Amino acid sequence: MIQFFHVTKKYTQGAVALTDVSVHVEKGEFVFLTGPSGAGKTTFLRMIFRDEVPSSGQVVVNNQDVATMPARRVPYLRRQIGVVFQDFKLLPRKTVFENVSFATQVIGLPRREQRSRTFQVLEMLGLNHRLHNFPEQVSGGEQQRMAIARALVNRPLILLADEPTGNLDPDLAQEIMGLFRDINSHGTTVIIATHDRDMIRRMGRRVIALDHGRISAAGAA
Amino acid sequence: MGRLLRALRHCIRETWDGLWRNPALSLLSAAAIGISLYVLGLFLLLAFNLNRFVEALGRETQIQVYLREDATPDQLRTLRAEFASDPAISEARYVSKTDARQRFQRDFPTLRDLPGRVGGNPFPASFELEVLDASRDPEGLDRIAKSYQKAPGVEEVRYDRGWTERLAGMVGLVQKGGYGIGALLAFAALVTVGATVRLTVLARREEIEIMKLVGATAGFIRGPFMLAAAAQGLAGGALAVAGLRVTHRLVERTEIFRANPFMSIVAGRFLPSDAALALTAVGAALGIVAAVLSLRRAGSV
Repeated sequence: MIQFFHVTKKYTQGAVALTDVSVHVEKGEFVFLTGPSGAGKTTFLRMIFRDEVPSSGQVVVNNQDVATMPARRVPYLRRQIGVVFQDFKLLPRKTVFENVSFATQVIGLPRREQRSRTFQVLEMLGLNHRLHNFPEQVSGGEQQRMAIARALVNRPLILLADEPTGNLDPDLAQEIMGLFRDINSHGTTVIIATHDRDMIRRMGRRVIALDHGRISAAGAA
Repeated sequence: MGRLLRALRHCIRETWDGLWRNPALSLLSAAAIGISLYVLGLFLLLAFNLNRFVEALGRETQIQVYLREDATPDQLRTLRAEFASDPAISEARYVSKTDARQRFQRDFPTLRDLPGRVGGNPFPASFELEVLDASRDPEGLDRIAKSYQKAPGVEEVRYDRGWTERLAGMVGLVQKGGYGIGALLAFAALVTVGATVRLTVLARREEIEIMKLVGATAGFIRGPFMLAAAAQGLAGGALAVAGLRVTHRLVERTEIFRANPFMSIVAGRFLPSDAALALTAVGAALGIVAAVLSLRRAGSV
């Protein structure tokens, strides 16, 4: 599903985010991406949805070479990928419902389908009592779930999450992880960037460890 | 098809929201385009009226073929036949020496004794040629004049070339000046509209970023900005036409206008409806061009 071939990413200022990274993630896999801050986790994720392109090497997602893909194809790649951002990226002037349905509107789903999918995913994430609240009126955990709901509402093949439990208490973090496991059990490939070692141990899934932009260890925890 | 319609509906809704989210900016864009088109329109109005005057004057342009004193009836007959067969000439009127003197005495009553005092009749007989529309330009008139200059029995061929050419030159100058100033102002309008588009993009950059991340196409994101700019341009163009109309009405009512025939030459009529429509369309086009340039410069949109 996702293949990195000798991927290196250098920024113009000279900083190196990734060095010669080669890795494969199979369809339906659940993978943790770990490493200290600045190890290149976020860059790794951003390359998958082509927010970044490699300086050298190749990134292939669902049989498409992401770097050489024409710009007009990028939106269609992104529709196959749900992303949960570390800072959530919610729109403060839109309600919980609008923030989530926004993603379905953008890809041009019929209005009825937009509503039914949004209700469905908000119910699944336990947010159906918060439909008309604005982001600032709900808790951090609920904002996190809003971000996950938006990533899931278009039924992506791949779900990427960048430190999704970073600012949640352990119980809530556990609950969110359970949610990712459920999503994965329906066939969605899931990659989660985190430095929460306890969490990784508890989940017992494959781990890709990055350190200073290089793969330092890969395999099951 | 359904998808396209939904995208269109979204685009229109977003455009409407966008226009009202910051009405001052929308108004600024429309005004910038409106002012530039208003000034351009003033020049067009002037040029249009002058042009009409030149055309009317041109219709009266005649060629006078003065005959020699000793021209024979045979030569006159030949000339008459040549005029009749010339495709550029619609009519050739013969003016005898007597007719010429009578016309002078009629046109200048205070000088009616002059011919008698200089002795006899100093006015030559002539042919007055009416030229067809197609040959009424300076080159056409020149060609006709030259072709009869050397004909037997002809003394001289004359026409009001200088006057017509000078006027046509003046109209050209007014038109060019109008286009020049119009282009300058249109550029200023482009910059203003472009800046308001950029401000709007900046104000919504969070939303745009998320739209891109969840897979919105560039057209889906840019559409509302372009449509909004087109609407502002259209409004600006319509405002300019309305402004010109009002200005024209006000000028028409002034005392100076009624007392001075020159005023009716330069501003007698309002722009024809197709020119007014074109001005409005140019407004919309300006808006779109400004949005396209501005969005391209914003790059990441």
